Amino acid sequence: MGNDPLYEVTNLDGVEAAYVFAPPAELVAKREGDIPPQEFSAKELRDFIRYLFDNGGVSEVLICYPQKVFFLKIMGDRALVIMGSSKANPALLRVGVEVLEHRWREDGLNRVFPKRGKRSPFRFWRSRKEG
Amino acid sequence: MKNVRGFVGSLHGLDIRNLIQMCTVNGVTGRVKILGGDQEGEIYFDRGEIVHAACGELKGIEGLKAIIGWEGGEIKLEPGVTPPEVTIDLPWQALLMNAGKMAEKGHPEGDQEPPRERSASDTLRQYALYSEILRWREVENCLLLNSEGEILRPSTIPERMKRWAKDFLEIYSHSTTLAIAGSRSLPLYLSVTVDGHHWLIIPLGAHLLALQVPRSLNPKELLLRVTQALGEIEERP
Repeated sequence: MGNDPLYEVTNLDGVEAAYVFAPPAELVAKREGDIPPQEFSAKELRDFIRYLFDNGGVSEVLICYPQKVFFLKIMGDRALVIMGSSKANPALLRVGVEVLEHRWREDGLNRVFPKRGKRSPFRFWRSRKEG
Repeated sequence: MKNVRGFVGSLHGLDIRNLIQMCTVNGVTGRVKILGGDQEGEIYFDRGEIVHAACGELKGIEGLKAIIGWEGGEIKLEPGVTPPEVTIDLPWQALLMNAGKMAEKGHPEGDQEPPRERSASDTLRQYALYSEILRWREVENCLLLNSEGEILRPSTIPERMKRWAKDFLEIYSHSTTLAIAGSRSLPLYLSVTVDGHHWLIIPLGAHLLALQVPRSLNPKELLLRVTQALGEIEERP
């Protein structure tokens, strides 16, 4: 099944892409399936995620459009975003994500989806040199 | 790559009773295959209710009992697969109690406020629809909001619901700008879980209808019912 934790998510029926964000709205993991995702505005998506991380009470949002589905789940300090076609089955999507979330939490969400800011300490030296 | 229909994964320490709860709470229709070592079991769901289970020669509740005792294994969720026969006709909570220990999680409903009866003197069809929906057994609470964020119905609500209503408007507003596809970018419905409570948000022209419903309820069925009720109200003299 590969080492990509999002592999099983994009293998669900109708799922075109899966992304994981860390606060405030930093993309930390992504996987796009064979069919490219139908268009969503990246700027609006980040605004939405920022709002949900700030909000605290909302844990899950499913939006059904005429031809696409948008699913977002807050898992601690990570947000999983799934984009798919209208073929995606919301009930199955939820169960699949709940099963995977259980596994990710056992392995540690921050370890499964680390923030990209945790890069080499030499990056500052490198960027000064390049700058 | 896309030949897998449904979901395939490992239980990885997840209790089978928890998996059953996930399927029932989310209203799954289809088959869950569980591979535990050299054994194979099947559980069939119909809109969240267990209707058949089989494990080797064992069927029905006996089959379910055998599967529930397993730890770990691989699972395959196949939506829409119908059972070869119906061998179980009991609510899933009773089944879990019967088949083993009662699952640890509580009922999905949580602490709810009873629906309020409103006067039927409203002339606007949304008001009439609101009154109609309040009679539906599966709807625990109902809010009618306008695009300015005003709560039109009910006239008085607890503080936390006011906060939720603000969230619904904010989320709906985001949903209208999220998708870039012209007229098809407006949502048909939204499903929001806030503070553990599950709500279905239906846009109705300039209004938003927010219904607190069990998570297992099929949103498409409820949407159809709302549309039919609205149609009937419009036909009234």
